Amino acid sequence: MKMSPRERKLAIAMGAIVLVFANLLLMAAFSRKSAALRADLADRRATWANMQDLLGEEGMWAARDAAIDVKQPRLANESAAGVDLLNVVRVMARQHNVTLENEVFGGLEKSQWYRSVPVMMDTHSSWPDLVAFLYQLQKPDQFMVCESVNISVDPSDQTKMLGHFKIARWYAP
Amino acid sequence: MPASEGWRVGGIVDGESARPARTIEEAAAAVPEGATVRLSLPVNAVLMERMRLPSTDREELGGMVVLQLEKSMPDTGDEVTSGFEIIRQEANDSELLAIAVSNEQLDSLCEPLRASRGLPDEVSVFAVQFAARFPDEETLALIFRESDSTILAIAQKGKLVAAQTCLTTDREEFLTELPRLLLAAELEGAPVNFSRVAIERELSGWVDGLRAQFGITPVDRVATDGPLERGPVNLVPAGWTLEQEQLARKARMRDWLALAGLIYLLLLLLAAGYIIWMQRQVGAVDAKAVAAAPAVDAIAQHKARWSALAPAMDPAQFTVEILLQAYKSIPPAEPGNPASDLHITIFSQTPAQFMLEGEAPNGNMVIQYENALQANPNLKDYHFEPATMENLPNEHVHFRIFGKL
Repeated sequence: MKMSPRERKLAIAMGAIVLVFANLLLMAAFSRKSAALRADLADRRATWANMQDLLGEEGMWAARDAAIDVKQPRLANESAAGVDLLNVVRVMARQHNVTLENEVFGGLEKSQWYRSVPVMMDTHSSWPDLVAFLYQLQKPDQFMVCESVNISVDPSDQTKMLGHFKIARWYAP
Repeated sequence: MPASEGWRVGGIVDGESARPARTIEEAAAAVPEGATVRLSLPVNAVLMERMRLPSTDREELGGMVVLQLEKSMPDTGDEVTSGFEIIRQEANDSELLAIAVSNEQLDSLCEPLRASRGLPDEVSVFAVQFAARFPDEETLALIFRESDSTILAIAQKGKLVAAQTCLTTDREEFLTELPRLLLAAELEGAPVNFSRVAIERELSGWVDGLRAQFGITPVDRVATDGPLERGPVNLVPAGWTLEQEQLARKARMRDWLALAGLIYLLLLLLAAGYIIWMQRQVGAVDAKAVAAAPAVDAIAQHKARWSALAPAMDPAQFTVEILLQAYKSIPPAEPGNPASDLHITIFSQTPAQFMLEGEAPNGNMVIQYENALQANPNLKDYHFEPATMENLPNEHVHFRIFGKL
């Protein structure tokens, strides 16, 4: 069937409109996909950069892990561990003129990384004695942790400090 | 070009042989794709008229020829295409051979060409072109066949001066008609005292009869095929030129559209290529991450273990160290005087956070203190929440600051 010039013009115009719309849809789809891929790539590159940073520290973290394996104490006797810890704390307190009161043994607490044997106590001492006591109590190889500390000025004697401590030793799990 | 068997296609270039075609449709089909078409018309397709006109100017002669032809043709000037070849010119007048063809007849003849390979670029008359092959002949009689007719053409110095058609290809009939044809030509003003008679090579059997007719005039055989020069008259109608221009415009438009389509396709391919390239980039980063995942997981495990045990191993998280840094961060009351009016009254700590509670002369000093804690490099692992403050009756401020891991 042969089209008249008017019909041909109309057909060309319709075709052009369809083509323009199809291209707009195509461009929009391409733009969306491209933006999503760019964002995805940026996320993944950031993640990969973090992973690379971590991989750069691999030696350090392996060494720290090995040090923990070597230094973290092993729990030989659960029932004696609390008593041993309290004895150690008592000795240190005596050395620094820190008075211990209300000593209580806590129960064994387990976590993924350690087994905690705590003791609770109140202290009464001067500020310098307390600082010296705490300095001796916590050393990197002793695995002694102050799980809870509350220190305040003694209201009856402003030169003295009152303390409530939950001190624990963290054994290997 | 016309031939005894109908038409011949090609053979106008040296070394190329012509292909015979029975009809114009066959001839059109035999034209190679993209070839330039030059059509040579038979004598009986055109009107030829010798004229003597009182001018030597070509433009003026053209106008006069059209006027003269309108008198002798049934069609109007717009319905015919005409041309002329000047045979002889004197001081004030010219003798010429006018040639005209009906556009309608030409359109009808060339319809197969238009439908298949396109309209001819040049339309000439075979007899005119054939005569041009003999520029040195004083007066030459050319005898050749065109389809069902035999043509007697008379040429002077390579220019056709007259052509008579005999509607037969039979030797005896032609020889019988020949005196009448010569007489008709003479009446038109054409010379008939020939220096030579040239007859189509395939009509060898006619030579004896012609010699008997022409007496001592030599009769030779010549080939009608072979290279043809462009004719002096081009009978392409004006409408064809317009049509050719439109076709050329359409062809150019088609070329542009094809180019645009190609570029569009290229852009689509580039876009698709970019998406594929991006996906491969994402895949490549993924592959590296997957390959490194076991090592990274192991490091993360080590890190988590260290972080969990940091209160027991990292001196920065020891109670005494935090107390020291909290003390060192107290701002002095005056520059150069270490004594301060800010006092810490309560300190509490768990492995995850510590809290400082105290009293300061004003809120500015508390903010100053908190800023100092935040700036302290030994407390960099702690995040400090804004201090909470409340006024005391002695116009001092009671504050509380939390530092969290």
